Amino acid sequence: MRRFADLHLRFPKKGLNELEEMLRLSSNLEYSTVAVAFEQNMKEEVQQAHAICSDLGVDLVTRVDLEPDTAGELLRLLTRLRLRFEIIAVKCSTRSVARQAAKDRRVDLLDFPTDPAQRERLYFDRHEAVLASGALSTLEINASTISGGRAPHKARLLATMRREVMEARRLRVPFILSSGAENLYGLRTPRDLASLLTLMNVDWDSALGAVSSEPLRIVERNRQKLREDYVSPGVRVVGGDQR
Amino acid sequence: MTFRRRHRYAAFRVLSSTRIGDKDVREVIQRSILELFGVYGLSTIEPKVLEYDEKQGGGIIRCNNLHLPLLRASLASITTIDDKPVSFFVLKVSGTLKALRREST
Repeated sequence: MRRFADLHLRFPKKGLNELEEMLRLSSNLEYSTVAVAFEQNMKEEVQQAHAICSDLGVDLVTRVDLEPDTAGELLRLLTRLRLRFEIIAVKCSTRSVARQAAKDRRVDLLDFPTDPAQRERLYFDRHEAVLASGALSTLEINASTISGGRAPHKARLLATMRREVMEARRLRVPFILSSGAENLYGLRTPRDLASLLTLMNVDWDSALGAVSSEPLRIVERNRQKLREDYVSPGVRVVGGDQR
Repeated sequence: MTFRRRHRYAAFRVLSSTRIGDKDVREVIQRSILELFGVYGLSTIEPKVLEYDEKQGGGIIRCNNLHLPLLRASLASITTIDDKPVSFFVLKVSGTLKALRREST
């Protein structure tokens, strides 16, 4: 049976109670893995969210969204936060940040502006795709970006996103689709999410992969890297009793 | 030789803080399909809300079997009704109404 993952639930404004409702609904909607974007200083909230998820039988993944103004700031944040969060997403607000994020192997997800005019200037273009194909970064598309807004706004965004997905597929850069929900109403079933990718000319199997196998692969890879016995890809320290 | 139209039947649920009427649900679905795919899309998807229970906030919608992802995308794109936040979930899909009802119970 296919397992589904939503790697982007924003921490709700109303706090943990609303987050609990969101996690409960996610569990009912058949998600096995859910990532919540926490603020950098939310240690207690992370612990409480873990407790909620273990009751619900959902695998919680900790995520942080970085929004640096410069490439240097991004590097500093990555050094500080990489070992604290399982997923690191970078909101690319300038071209230099986008380029640095695409080539840095510590970055998992690349997010681009949600405003259509900004996105037409700064999007996942061919150069970005070339850099990402040599690293581990993945293009993330948030359903909340597509579903809100007026029709002309949506049309412009869809046109840009279609180009982005085309570039990603051409250079075999993985892409995932997340809800980007900040309350209950932003959540969708995995297959409903996947259907939004058909608007970007993605076939149904690949669309389902973008809400199941691709996000799960990122989580698995990062968890391996965060283990104490990890050395490099394919190499880990084996203890005496495991030999 | 005859070409029989095939359908898909989808059980859906509406999440909302207030009760949403049958007319509103039908209108918002049609509007969403028109916005995303236009008149041509509406004619190919052939959506029809067969039943909707206001109390439960759930119902059954039928569409052309080849265009189910388009119907799903249209439902997933609905975010508000009368400026109140809502979300639509497709819970189950089947090729016959009988099987859908059997699976839903």
